[in-house]
Amino acid sequence: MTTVILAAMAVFLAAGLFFALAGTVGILRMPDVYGRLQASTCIATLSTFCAAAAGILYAVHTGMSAGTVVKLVLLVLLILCTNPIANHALCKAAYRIGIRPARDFVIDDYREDFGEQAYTEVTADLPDEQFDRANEPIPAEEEGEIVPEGGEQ
Amino acid sequence: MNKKISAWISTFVFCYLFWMLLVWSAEPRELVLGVLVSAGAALFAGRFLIHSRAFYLFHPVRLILLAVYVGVIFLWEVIKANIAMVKLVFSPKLSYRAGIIRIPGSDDIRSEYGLAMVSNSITLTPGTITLNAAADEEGHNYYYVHWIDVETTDRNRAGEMIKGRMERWIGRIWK
Repeated sequence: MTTVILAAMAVFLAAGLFFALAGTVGILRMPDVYGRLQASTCIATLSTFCAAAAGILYAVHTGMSAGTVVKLVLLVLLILCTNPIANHALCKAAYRIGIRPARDFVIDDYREDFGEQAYTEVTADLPDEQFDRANEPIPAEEEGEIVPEGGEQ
Repeated sequence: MNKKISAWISTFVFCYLFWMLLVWSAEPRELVLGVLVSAGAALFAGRFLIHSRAFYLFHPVRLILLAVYVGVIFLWEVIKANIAMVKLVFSPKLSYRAGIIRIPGSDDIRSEYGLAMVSNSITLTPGTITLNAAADEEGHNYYYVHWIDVETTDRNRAGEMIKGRMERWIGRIWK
């Protein structure tokens, strides 16, 4: 029985590490922010599940109190509640400040329905030069208008 | 009942349950401290957490459905999506076709909680991220989903592929 539990624990840990590795490789290999966000979800979901399952098995194996098991389950639930919100906010913010994908979208309904408003709402009250607007050269006439800070006082 | 008070009670019960599970002891000191902390937290957080129908989830059938959804249906979808993502990440050429697609939501799900749960479930499955959930003039819901590997540009079929099963289950929990 002990061997079975230990073996299952090892399998879960290995699976968790594998999915975390896949997520990390994805973050490094993907060409743009959207792909990286997608790949990073692997780490937050199945990798965490497997690690928590291994932790639960370990707690059972060493005879820890049931509180430890409950804490691990709550940990997973907490990540499930908070991670998608951060991911969604990052993705939407990246889209709205005008970061374009490395490969053009096959279909872009968001732009179709919200038009240019999808980009400009956020950039309107922020200085443009602070943002790295990929693939979008600054128009020549705007460049001349930028006054260096503290230059004419 | 007054809306504010019911929101407060609902949040208080939730916080106290959370506190008990985390502390995992029945000492009087912990119990009293839990009441104080939960009451304070509910006072501040109640109006953010509960907007309508405060006691909707305190219902055995819905709680069991929620547990089944998170533990079985959602887990299975996540495992499938994870394996697809691993295949994509380790493929030598890294060829994918990304896109943002508008998929129609079910008309059964109207509440904020249901919409948020569908959106978050979509975001949590690797390969799809919800950018926005919006409703048109007639009250139909739409989700704007960034899909890493667009298999079909037909919106109804894409919706079925992305969230079909998950949405049907969430429709049984939230209306």
